[in-house]
Amino acid sequence: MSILIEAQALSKNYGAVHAVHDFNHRFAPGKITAILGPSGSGKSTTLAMIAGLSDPDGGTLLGDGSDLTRVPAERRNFGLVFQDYSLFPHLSVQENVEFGLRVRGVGRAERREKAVAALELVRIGQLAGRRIHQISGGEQQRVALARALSFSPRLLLLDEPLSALDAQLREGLRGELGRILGELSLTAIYVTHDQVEAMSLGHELIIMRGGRIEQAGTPLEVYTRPATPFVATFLGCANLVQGECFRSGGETRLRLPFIELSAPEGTPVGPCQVMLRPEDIYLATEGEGQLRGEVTAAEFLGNQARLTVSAGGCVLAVNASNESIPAPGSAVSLRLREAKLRIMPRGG
Amino acid sequence: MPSKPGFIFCLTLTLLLMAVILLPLLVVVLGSCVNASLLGLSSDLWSGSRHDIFDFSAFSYLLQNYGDWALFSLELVLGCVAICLLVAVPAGYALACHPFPGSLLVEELVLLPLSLPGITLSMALLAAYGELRGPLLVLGGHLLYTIPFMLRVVTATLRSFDVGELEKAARSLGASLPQRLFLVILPNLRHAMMVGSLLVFAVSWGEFNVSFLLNRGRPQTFPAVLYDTYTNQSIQISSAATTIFLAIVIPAVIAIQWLGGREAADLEQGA
Repeated sequence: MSILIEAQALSKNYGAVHAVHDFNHRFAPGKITAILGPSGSGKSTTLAMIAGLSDPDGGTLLGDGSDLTRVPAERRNFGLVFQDYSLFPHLSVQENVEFGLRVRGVGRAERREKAVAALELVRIGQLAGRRIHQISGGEQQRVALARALSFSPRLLLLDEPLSALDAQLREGLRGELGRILGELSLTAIYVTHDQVEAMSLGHELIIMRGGRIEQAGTPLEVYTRPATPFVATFLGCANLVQGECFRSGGETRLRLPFIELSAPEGTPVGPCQVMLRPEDIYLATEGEGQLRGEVTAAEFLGNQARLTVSAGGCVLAVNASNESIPAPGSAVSLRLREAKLRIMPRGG
Repeated sequence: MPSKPGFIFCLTLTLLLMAVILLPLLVVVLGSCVNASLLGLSSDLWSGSRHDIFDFSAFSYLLQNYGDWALFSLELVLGCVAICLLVAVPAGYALACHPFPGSLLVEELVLLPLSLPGITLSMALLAAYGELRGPLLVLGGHLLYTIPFMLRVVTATLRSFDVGELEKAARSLGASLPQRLFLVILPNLRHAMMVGSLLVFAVSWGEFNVSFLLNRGRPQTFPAVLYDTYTNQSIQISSAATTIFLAIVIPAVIAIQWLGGREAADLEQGA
């Protein structure tokens, strides 16, 4: 049932603005691909082109090898969950969920049965008779999902489905959404600007910036091995430090303002940028650190603390235990998890 | 909750205003069937029985002599409502949901006839389409006055919710254009079409100038019955004609108020 979707050089312009440019990707069948990017990065436009709601100005969209580029949305058999849900206000919850089956000419009894099953899947079977204005935002989100799933779509597209909800509800529904999509093993494309949603739900992650794919890979790959400084800083918190790689004594070495280390073999020589995640720098006991610094700010974040440390003329974000948070002004010793350093070319 | 003296003042003022508005109508309605001379009031123009306090013969008289006028007027009104629905709803949808350069100007131009005196509009229509003078041109004149009402109600409703997003949702669910039209757009416009139809009905039913000037011979529209009876018949008969006129138009006005209130409530609830 899962479909292999392949985008080949999809592009979309709005006047002189290149909303999406040269988008190439094979979406893994039966997996969830999260498209993540800041506002204006082209992620929703990409989704609209895949859904058939926006015509690409260039490129091709293939579904199991067939050209879908000019197939209208209503004939693609893709389910779509909208950011604002776009539920039909004149219909009840059940009638909303039945809509996709109704327009396909499915008989009343069968569509009722399927709608009830879809509502049970999202655990709101008891709301079937309610009007849309009589249910909460979280419940509306579930109705929108049930509606998009009721007709067994080949592909499920989700356009920031949780963004209209408050933080607590969003977290709860994120887990629920993961469970449902996991149960169905449906090919799904999930557009979001929330990195936690993207990393927790997506089997694969696409980072977009300025209408282009910046990097694609598994969430772990993208997080730990960002291809560009933009990806490094967009996906979580990252310290970017200017450095230089050079050859010395038959090995490649990396010089940072506050430390000199050996660099992995094959690292190109020359100026570079190095990414250090705050969790890869840790406080060491006095005398065992690799570098010394001064705490300039300390934030209590609940489960941990985030320190801002000045070291060698650089400002570093450092994670620390919340049990004994160093006060601003105090000197600290730090160690790096060298294996986690990511060396990237400068720029970007 | 307002203070008690304030509430009494407002209530008194409202009742006084209602009395000022309703009293003349009540007098007219009673004048159609109550023999005022038996109550000691002057009633020189009473044409019914001199001995009975109630007399409904004026209605029979009107039915016999002006029945075809009433029928013509009703046909005209219903034709007007049907054409307005067929023309103004798609036009309103196009203007509100798929605006084009100059669409706002088109909207304003459609409203223009409302600001023109009936005689000006009639003379313009006669000058342009004089050979069509008669029921067809009367219908044309009525449409110029009524389409703006339907168009305004439809565009305002379409702009009050994001119909474009609902259409996209319907497309993503597999709905073809006719399915989107009949299962999504029109159901969400039902209140607007109902209110618009009643407005068209009320305006067309009461329109006199254009009907009178653009028609040729008999039958005329029902407001012309009022003109004819008030100028040539007894007060009892003209009051009976007015009563019939009001009996048709007042339920329509009440329905407009009721539906308008329901629509506002639905919009507030997001339905």
